[in-house]
Amino acid sequence: MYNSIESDDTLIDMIKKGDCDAFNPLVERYKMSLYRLMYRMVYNRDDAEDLVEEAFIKAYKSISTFEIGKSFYAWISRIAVNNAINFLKKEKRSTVQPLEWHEHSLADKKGDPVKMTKQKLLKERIGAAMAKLPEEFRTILLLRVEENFSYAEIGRVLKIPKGTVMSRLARARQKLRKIFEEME
Amino acid sequence: MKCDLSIELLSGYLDGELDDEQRVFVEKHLKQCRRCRNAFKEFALLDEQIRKQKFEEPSREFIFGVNRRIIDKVKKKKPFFIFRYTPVFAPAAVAILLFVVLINISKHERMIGIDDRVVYAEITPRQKLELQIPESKIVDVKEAEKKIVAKTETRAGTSEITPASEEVAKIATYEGADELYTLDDGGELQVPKDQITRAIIDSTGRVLKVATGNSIIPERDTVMENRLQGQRLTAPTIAGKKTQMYVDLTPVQKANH
Repeated sequence: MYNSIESDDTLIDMIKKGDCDAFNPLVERYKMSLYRLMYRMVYNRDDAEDLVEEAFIKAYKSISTFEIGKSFYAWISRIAVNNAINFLKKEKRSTVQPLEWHEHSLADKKGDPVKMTKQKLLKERIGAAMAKLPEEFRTILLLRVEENFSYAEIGRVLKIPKGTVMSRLARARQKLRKIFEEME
Repeated sequence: MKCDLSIELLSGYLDGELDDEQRVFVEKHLKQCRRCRNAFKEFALLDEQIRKQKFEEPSREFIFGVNRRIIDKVKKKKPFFIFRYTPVFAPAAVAILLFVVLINISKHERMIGIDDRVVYAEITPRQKLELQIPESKIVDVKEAEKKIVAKTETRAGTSEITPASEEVAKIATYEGADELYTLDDGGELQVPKDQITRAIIDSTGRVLKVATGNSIIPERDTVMENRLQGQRLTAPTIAGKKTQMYVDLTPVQKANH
């Protein structure tokens, strides 16, 4: 059995030697972070869960290509993000609607704004604004802001130069601010 | 005041991705430009809101069951050790297999596989023949051409060895062919007179295997084989190309000349 003491590298080394049970602690360690990232990209629980599962299986299959010493989370995020991008393209869903937005509309109709604190409204608005962003802007913002990836890491994940990361992020922020203002 | 700060620099500054020179430039500009300061604050606020974004909790099945499901799937997908390197070994294995097959095919072209029986293909003699018998020390081309005969041997009666001096013609047959060839050995072969004597000769005309008998599939005759083996007939050709062949060794009567 494995526990949280083993480092990612130790576990990956064991997996490379054929011990597939060593993959379990890695799944446990990163499944929620990946789920959060996937959910932010597709705004659907079932799809996000499927994408996380698929990302882990793909990661296991190509674990031999992982370089010990590098960040496993960054590596598997790259796999997951690419999966999600392909998924959105396949589904032809450039923009999505978060659950909060539906809840908000429902609350409005019921005429029950009492529970809607200012903070909650703000959260819902940002969720809705993010959902309205084109997929490439939403993804790059999530990687930078949510996942705190450096420009270099984002460049590796999205296979774009660092300069493109910088300009795309700036445009994404500008677009988000515009959408946000329009919703006020 | 003119604002010359690009949105990229402002965004890069927020992310801490600028070099020292750019950072100093942005900081200096922000001190002087209220509009850019406001934009910077808005970007920072949006980032904060993005981090605080709500998300739907995953299902219980995901929380408690996804590990097991993933491990079960990867265990199923775990390939046998030897197949892990399939992408590397498969092309090499196919190449080796192809090489072995080609080698064996070419060997079969040179050698005739015969065990105890020779499968005989009955053919109909033709009057017009495309005969090509190369000139050699033991073959007189003109004489050989005269020895084209119809296959008229009788297949009954007792065996009789023809004298060495008696000329011998061979009617060659091969599986699937309908051409007739006559070969010559310069009168050196002695074959039984009244029974089928069938031989396999290689592309150089050398006798390899011999079978005799009166049935449609004659038995291998090792005595006759020993006697005839190694003797060289005219190399058989089909359409100008030397080839292996089954031949019937049939004594030719003097009257046929």
